Amino acid sequence: MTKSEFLNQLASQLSDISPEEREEALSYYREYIEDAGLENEEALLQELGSPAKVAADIKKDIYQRTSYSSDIQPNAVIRHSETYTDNNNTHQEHTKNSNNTNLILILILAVLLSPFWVPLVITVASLIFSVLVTILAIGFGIGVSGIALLIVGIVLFALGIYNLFLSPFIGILLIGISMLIFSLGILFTLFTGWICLKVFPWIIKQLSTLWHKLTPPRKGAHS
Amino acid sequence: MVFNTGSTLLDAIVLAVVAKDAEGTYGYKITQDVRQVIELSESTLYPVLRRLQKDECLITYDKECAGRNRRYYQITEKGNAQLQLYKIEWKSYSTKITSVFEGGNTHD
Repeated sequence: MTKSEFLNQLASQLSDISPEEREEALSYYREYIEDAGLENEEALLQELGSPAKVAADIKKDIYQRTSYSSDIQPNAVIRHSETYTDNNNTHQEHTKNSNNTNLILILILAVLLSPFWVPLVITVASLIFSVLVTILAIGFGIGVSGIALLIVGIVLFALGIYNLFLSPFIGILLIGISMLIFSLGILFTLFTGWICLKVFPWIIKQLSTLWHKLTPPRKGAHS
Repeated sequence: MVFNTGSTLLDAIVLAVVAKDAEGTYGYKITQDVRQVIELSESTLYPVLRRLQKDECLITYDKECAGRNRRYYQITEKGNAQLQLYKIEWKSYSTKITSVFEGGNTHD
């Protein structure tokens, strides 16, 4: 390859970056080859290798690095370390590729095993759902009974007062029983209130925490 | 060469090489000087120089030389400060590694 062939190919490989960047890169290499001198030109061009590779390195740096402001701080390590070896095979590229491959493999595995875990997930979800419904139902039932008891209690109390004048002992008995029933009613109502206001929301919160732990947000946890 | 040179270390080496010349030096010479010290390919330094320039650690100027143009890189105040930091970090880092290799009792 000659110098002008190299530079022309480099220019076309760099056609997708800004004109300023392209011009700077081209002048750099043009001057570089000239500075090497004619006697070294052939060896240099051979070592530079393909213009495509040179262009790729330039573009990688342009796209990857936004300018880190070199703030002067006591612990001066500012950039991630990539490693430069002669064949420019960066470690980061390597781990990035294996992360993507792992993901694809996991997805394929998930699809293949779906006859197993899909029914399992459905079962577990239904179980959780039915437990929730049962708790709600119990709460509701107790609530209704509670209200009923309250009403009965009040009615019996009234009856008891009425009977006080007819046969005092029966009256007193009725009043006593009505108070018992009334207090049971209060207990039941309170219990329902507790279930609705405390237990149920707590269960929902526990489930959502569990859900968030199982499906962590994707972004940001990067290498 | 046995050990890979990370990009930070490479920055430091380039800054040190450029700082040696008060008037600055040009790309080809910088590469040759760095190659005295570590192995690297002819195309490695352009992204490094470009980045150091964007980070304002280096400035460039053009000089006519034998009928053609040559771009010189020169270190800035900021670049010099960064270089001093790198030197301090290097001193600390290399001392620790040396002591590990030489098996001294450096553990507190």
